[in-house]
Amino acid sequence: MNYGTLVLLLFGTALFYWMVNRYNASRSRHFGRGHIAAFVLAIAALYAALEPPLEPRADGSFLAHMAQHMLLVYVAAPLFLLAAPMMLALGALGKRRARLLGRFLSGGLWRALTFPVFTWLFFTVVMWGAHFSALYQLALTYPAVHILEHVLFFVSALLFWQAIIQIGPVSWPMNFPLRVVYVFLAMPQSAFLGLALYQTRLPLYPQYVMTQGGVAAALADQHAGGELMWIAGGFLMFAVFMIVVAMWGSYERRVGEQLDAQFDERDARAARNASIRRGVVTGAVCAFAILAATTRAQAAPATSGSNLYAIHCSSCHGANLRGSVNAPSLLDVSTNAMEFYLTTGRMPAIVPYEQNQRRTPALSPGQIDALVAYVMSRSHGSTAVTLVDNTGDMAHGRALFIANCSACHGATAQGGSVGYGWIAPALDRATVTQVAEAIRVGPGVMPRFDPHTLSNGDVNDIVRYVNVLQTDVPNVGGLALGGLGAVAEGLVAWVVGMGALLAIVRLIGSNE
Amino acid sequence: MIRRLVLALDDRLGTAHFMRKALRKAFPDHWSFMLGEVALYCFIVLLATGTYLGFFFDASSQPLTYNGSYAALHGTVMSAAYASVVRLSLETRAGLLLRQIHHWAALVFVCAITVHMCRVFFTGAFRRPRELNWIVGLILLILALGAGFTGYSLPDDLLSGTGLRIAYSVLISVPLVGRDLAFLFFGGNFPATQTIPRLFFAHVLILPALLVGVMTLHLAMIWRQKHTQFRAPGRTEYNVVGSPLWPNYAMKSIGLLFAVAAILTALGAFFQINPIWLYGPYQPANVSAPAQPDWYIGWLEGALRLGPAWSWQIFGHTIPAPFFAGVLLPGAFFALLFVWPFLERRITRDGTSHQLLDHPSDVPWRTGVGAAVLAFAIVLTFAGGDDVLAKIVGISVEALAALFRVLLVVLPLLVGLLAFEFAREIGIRRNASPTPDTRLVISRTAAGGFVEQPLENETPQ
Repeated sequence: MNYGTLVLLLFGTALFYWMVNRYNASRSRHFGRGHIAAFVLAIAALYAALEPPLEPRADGSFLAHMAQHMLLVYVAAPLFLLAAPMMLALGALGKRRARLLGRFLSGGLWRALTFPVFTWLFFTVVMWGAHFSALYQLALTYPAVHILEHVLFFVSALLFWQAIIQIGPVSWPMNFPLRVVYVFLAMPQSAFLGLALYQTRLPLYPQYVMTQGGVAAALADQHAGGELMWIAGGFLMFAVFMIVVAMWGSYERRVGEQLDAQFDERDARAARNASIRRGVVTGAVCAFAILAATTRAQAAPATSGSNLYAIHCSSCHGANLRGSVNAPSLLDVSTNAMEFYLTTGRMPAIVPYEQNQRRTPALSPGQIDALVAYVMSRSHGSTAVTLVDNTGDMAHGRALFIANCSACHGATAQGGSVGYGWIAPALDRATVTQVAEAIRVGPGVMPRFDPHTLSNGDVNDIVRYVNVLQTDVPNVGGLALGGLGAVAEGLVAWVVGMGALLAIVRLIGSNE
Repeated sequence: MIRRLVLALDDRLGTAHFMRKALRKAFPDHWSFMLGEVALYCFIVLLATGTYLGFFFDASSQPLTYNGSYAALHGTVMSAAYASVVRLSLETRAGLLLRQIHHWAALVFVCAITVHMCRVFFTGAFRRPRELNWIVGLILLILALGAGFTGYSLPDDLLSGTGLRIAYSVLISVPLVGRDLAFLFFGGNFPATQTIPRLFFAHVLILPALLVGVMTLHLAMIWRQKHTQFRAPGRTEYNVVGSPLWPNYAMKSIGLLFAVAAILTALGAFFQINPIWLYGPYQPANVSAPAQPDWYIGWLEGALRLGPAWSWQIFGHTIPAPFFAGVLLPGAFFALLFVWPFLERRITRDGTSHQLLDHPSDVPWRTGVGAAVLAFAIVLTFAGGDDVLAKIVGISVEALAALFRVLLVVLPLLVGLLAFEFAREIGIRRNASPTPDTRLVISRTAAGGFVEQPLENETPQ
């Protein structure tokens, strides 16, 4: 959840609502309902682009990132212009401020910025430059650059579209034939960019090689993003082209109808007044309803197993759980294994191929439950959960621990190295449940002990003994020296014992 | 009171003459000469604490079912020996403290012996006429290793049982006599019920008695041959310059005894050593890791870990791998130490007696050889803990073992050469600026004044 963006969107909505009210109060003509609807949709599009579920995935997938940009550039920006913000601002602001704004809008800077040749080129340069320069990778690395990138996209798109959507004060009025040419020229530009991305032979952005788990996956993701731009972008631009042509055709009729409309407006003022207010209220309620709904949908990824899987697991285990070169299939994974790996923080893994060490779990217990439920609904593995209650027979557990566990984990459960770089971890922080799960699962090179080898009762006894080892009770006699045995004892004998004695001897002996 | 007692003794035994000589005997004073004493006092602490432990130890392999205070062992079948050590550790008043002091004292005992031996080696104190005492000292070292290993094995826990299993395997690897040797020490095929009683007997009687006897011989020879001294103005091959035994040296030494006892007690009080109740009773089918012997056996463990997996057939006899790393290598190591005084005499063609010690920089080549041998032993010792090191440094045991095999050859050469060069460099500087003799002779003139002049002629005192 990006609260900064959310606050900004809410603030924008509130401002819009306030301005519509002021606009309506000060004008004979009321602010159009279509504009309000467009504004609500623009806010929704911005929300969809900049908030979960899309936003967090943009860092991991080029495709998601492309979808985000397309929403910003092709949906949110034109909708925002359709909401006629300039017209609204001019009408809503006080006379003095409106005059200031009007002066700016008729000034040289604004005219230069909105000059259609400039806006077309600027938009094109931003689109191509962002994808084929270091900016993109920088944006992935630094959140601040990412925000700047989004602002750049949105602003360049607004400038681009304002040449077509000429509502409100227009510094460079373009007749319909010119607008058709403008759009027509933009179509190949956007399609070529999509094609160029689709035909790349190497991943452009190192970040996605990492998050996608390999060059091939990153390239496939990149091609998918290119396809999206080429096809969806192409369709959108074509639709815009057709709309502009259609608008050109109906232009004369609309001009003719305008007078009638003005009379109609005057007649129905009272009714309009009420209905516009209703409209704004409805719009705001709708906006908040959409926000609330999407917030729920955003809260949902935190607890929805499939989303969690997509975010944390799919890059290695594959979207269909079939695994990849980086990770095994999860189609036969057991509940015990899922819980063991997730609750000990070993999964989601940071790097594939390395032995995963115990870490603070990345997922909350609720998320883990959801993820386990999701994966287990697709897995054929055992859902049997080994229940332990820490009331087992510690003496029997001790005998079993020494016989089955101490060869790797050590008699003191301090862990040890078991060859070829594998580590049998220390059990000092393992919970009884995790120990039981590990026994049943056999993580890494650890053998798997099935119920024929160690019954549930045996497991219960072992975890009890491990718990005893974790307490201070067996550690009488002073510092346990890491439970490392004679190696640590030898070092202490030399450094502490002999070291102190040498110092004393040196102190009381002479040095002639 | 004391005076009357002494007089009475003298009256009957004629001890006054001896006592007067003994108490006034001069001891050269240097801090490094006290290292052997540290070992001696460790031994005294060992005798004292061991006596206490002996009251509670049950040297029997008789199986029994534990139902003492430690719940995690309830109902476990174990040897009476192990049960008695658990009881000693967890139920007997001061039992764990004394056991820990005893164990720490054993570790520090061998530390002190090692440092003392290094002092003797690097200063050339083993040269004629003291070759015999060097050999006696080496025998003491071997006895100390034996006493340590038997003590480590007595509790009959899983860790010591693993050690015994290895020792047994090394023993039977000796061609022709291996099986007989093993049976002699272990009282039968491993694991034998006779093993613990035999180890106990060796640990509490044979080895301490030998240690006391040989230590007495060691000290008597020092007494007879007098202590060596470092080169200094006024010290020659024909005198002994130092403080008298009574009261100077004796007071210092008694202070050292208390210091040793204090530090060993502190170790026993604050540092847990060998928590046998965690390892559990020895069961031949089980083994825990990491499993290391006490540090002074570590080099043998390391030799076994690094040693080649040779297995030779000679005249129908199999000579298995443990023989090379576990018997031949330490055999050669100790043989080199035993013959070193004679070897060095052969090399230097110096058969004269030496009362003055060398500075390590005086004989760079000996210093180089000593450093190389030390490096060799240290690499082996660390190799004995390779699995623990592997976990700490985060590389695989296999890579570490390979590294140690390379280091075992390279490091001694490197360290030896460095020590040689270093000693030579220091030697050159020391000889370039000999310590000026600042002693003065003050004589009174006829007129009543005083005249100072540098000392010129040394006179034997």
